Amino acid sequence: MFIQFGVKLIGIVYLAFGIIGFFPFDFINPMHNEGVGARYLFNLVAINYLHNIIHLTIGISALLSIKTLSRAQRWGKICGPVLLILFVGGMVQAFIEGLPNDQMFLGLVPLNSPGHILHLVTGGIVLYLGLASPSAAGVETDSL
Amino acid sequence: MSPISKEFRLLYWAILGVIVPFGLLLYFFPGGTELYWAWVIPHPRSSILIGAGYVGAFAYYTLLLRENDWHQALNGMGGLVIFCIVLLIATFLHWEEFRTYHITTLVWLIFYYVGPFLVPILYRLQTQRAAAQSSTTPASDADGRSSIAQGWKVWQAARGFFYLALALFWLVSANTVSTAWPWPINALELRVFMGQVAIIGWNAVVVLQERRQWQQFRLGQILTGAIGFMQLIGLFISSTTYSWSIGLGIVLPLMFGEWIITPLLLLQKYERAKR
Repeated sequence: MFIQFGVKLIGIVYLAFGIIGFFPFDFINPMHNEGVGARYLFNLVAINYLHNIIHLTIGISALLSIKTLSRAQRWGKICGPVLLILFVGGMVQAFIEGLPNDQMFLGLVPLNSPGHILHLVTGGIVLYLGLASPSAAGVETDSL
Repeated sequence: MSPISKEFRLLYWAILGVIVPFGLLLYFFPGGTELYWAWVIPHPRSSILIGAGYVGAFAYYTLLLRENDWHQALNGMGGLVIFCIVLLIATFLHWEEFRTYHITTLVWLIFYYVGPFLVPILYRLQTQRAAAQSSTTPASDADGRSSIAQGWKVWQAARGFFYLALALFWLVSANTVSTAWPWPINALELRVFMGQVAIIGWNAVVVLQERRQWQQFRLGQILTGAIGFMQLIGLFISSTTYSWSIGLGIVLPLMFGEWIITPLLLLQKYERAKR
């Protein structure tokens, strides 16, 4: 089923982000001292320990939810809006602060534009998986 | 015939919505990147080099939407994911050069995150749908389609592996290669161009799949030819300096010429046979 496959894919990616984020190696997660002073996962997404734990939580909860379709969809309905709210909140704060290279969201979690867009894209996909009709994978011939 | 899912069609429309402005701006206004692009591209030829890929892809996605045939779209999925991953690697290696909240940077990030995240999910959805449909309708669309001749398969596999290896090598050693380029180019622009080379390679190696038929292969060849054509024209429309005296100065137009000639020969052979 494509819904469980999608949740599994997103879960694996977030789990990997959570684990790799803890690597203190500059060639994977270089330190950027010029802003709030955060490591950038793959030189893109601003992270700290708390951010890595959140990524791990998203990944593990996704992988735990894929045993049944209804649980996978419930996970999508919860996690999708959370990620999208994080995107909106992060962007609003970035605009208020004058679009800095990175920012400290709620004083706890470093964020930057690749992180915002990651939340937007994965949040949108996860919400789609949560709301998609399982029968969508049946025969269909309509087009746009 | 198995139609392309509405989700994929929506994605293709969205891709067109991005590549048309990206391609037109970079190709026809190469000197204005400090205004409209995610990073400042110092040399107009580098801008044209990147833009040609987007302009060439316009022909591919327009045809995909017009043909609306999953069997013809199938091969392009891997190429799209590879392209997105190569460009994410380029972004990862050169993030400091990007303007972090420029609208093009945000669109760029959305575009290249979507490839590895969304395409595999929609692919799974599409294959499930296609399987459900083939179990309810008799198989007839594959009958009568031309298989690709053995000689062409060998040639395609050879050039495919060559271009994939070249993309990997130039991606890794972009700093060194940039010093031997026919015009001054940054490693970032070179790495972005490697996304195009990887797609050309992918479009050729997919011929190795069993029972590969021309219909499933033709759009990838049209994409290859369109990119080659735009690149070759791009070399000549730019009035800025181009060094013909170094090796790559000769190799580049020859490579772009090959991107045009091989697809043209294949199209001539198999499209005529189809009629």
